Amino acid sequence: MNATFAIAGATFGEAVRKRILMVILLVALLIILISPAFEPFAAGRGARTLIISFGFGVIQLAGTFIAIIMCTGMIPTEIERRTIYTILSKPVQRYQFVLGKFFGAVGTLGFMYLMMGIVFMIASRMALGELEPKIVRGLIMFFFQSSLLAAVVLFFSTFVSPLVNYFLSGGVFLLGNLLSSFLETIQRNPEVTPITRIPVQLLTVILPNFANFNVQNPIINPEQVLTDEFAYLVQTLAYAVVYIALLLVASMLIFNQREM
Amino acid sequence: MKRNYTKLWIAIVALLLVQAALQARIFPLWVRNYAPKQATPIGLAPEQLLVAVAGFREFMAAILWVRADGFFDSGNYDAVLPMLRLVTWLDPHNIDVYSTGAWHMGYNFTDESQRSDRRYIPMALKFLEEGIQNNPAVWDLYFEMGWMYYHKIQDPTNAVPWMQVANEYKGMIPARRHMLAHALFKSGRLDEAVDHWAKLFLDAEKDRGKDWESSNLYDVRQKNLEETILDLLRRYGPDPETQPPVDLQFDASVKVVRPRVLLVEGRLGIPAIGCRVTVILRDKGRTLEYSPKALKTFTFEVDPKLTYMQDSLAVRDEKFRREIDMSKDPKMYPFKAEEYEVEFIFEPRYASPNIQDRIGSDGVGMWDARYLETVREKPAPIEVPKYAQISDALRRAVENPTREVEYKRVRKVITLTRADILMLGRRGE
Repeated sequence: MNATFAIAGATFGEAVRKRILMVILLVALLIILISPAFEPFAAGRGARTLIISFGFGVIQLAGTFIAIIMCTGMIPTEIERRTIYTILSKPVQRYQFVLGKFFGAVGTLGFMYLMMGIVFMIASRMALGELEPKIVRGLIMFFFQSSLLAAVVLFFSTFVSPLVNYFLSGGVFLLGNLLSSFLETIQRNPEVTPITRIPVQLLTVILPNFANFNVQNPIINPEQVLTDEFAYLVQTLAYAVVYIALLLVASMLIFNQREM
Repeated sequence: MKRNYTKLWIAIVALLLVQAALQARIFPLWVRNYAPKQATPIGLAPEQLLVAVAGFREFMAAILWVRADGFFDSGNYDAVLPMLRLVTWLDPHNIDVYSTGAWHMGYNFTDESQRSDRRYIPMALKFLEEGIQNNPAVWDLYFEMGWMYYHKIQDPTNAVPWMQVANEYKGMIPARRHMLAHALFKSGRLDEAVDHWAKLFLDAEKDRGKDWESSNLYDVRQKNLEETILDLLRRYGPDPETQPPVDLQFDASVKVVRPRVLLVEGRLGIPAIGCRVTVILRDKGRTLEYSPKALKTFTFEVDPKLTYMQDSLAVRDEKFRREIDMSKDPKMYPFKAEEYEVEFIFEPRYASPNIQDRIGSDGVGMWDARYLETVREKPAPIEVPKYAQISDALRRAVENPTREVEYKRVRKVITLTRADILMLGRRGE
């Protein structure tokens, strides 16, 4: 376990030194910080909608970019630089290497979400005159969404090149965001035949479903009355954990079989 | 060396099944609480827009809504409509947009004389229906729908079911609960109106003295309950003030004074100030169906060939008279049909209380030898979304209404031709 955490720590240190990630974080922080400037454009309820939705949008976008950029090169770079041989020649198992890389990535994401969350809370407090504690719920869900995306990227990085990984992970993220609403659309359409519906249903339960984590709407529109909200949040977090575990096991399986 | 990965494969299959089971449980809740919903039952969802994936869906909607507000302030009402469509696509849970948008469509499109373009009202109802389908667990839009019927369309019979649904929600603003009692009273369901006032009064009694607001609410409800009972006794009790009936000697005439300009005048024999006669001019045989079901899908397009004018004429000294100029708004009054009906209606349900004291809110105290008619109606069934938080009893009642109400009115219809209204042939046209 020590080896896993040592690799995680090294991954975290390496990630926070990456200029591209820091630039994304800084830009996101600056944009969130200036979001109270929207306040004069829309009074009252409109200002709240603008500021909170903008903040969530920036954080989600930044989280997505950080997860993809950080994780695509994690394993291929180690192989390319041949540093992986040094690591694996020590008493480190391959699964520990994969786990360490993932935990390092999640730690980096956590750090970045913490920074963005604090600035977002300050900015919304400045603009709206009160703290909106429900924002934290949205941030936690986005953090798990990015962590799941990081697991997807890491999984692909065990067998494809970084360039292919960008497109593959981006595609899965896009699809994972669309599938639920697509399934809902076709379920409501009586003209859709089972031949069309069943493959979409299968894909929805097989592919990682990123739309589950988009819970910002009721925070932006507080009049919404939600049913079994707590159960939904718990199940979604459990879903993230289980899916991440699935991807990590699959990554270990592929990485273990890989010739180096 | 060949290693055995059976355990890993078993773990993968097990985890795949667990996540699929979780996803199957999450999906119905996601649909109920978080799905972006759609403008129409069939079509592309806003989530399928690329911008939605970037996480800026609600932000885009908020920006567009601010922009729509700007158009509204500058009087560019037509530009507001597509904005409404876009905003509700992007953020279908923004209640303000649905309620303000429906109000905008129902009330703000007017002619030069501030008469509403009533062709927009079915559109407003459809828009509210969409809002209700997308936000079934919020009371506001049921109330807005009821208000549209109660105030704009002046159809209390169909306002009642929507307000009943809104009233079952716990979070409803207390003062707004009063509207159901008013709608029940106006629609002739007098017993239910008294029952509702009594229920509201008893509810207010629990919190009486808690703070100024609660005490005020108690006073208002007590006053309304007492006045409603007194009105009923005065109008329908022993020795009612509504008897003997007033002979209205109703009559009306219409004269074309210039092309597209009508002079309407007539008589209504009620010797009190506060009566209004409704005049409607429309294509013969066509009427506006004030129902969310009148439109199959939501559209901003009104029928450009339909002419529909409605105005309200004040009665003074038992007479009414007005020149109605439709020449300045050819888009609103296209006059494409060959024949038109001009309909004059006086009905007591929306008359002022002093007049209702004499003729009753259902017209029991009025008489006319030529134009009196009795209207019997019951509310149209309404479609309550699956996730609406109402009792099964109310759901059944509003989906299959049985209670019929009855009221009297006077109504006269005059037919005009297109040639009459446009004065074709008289000026060499």
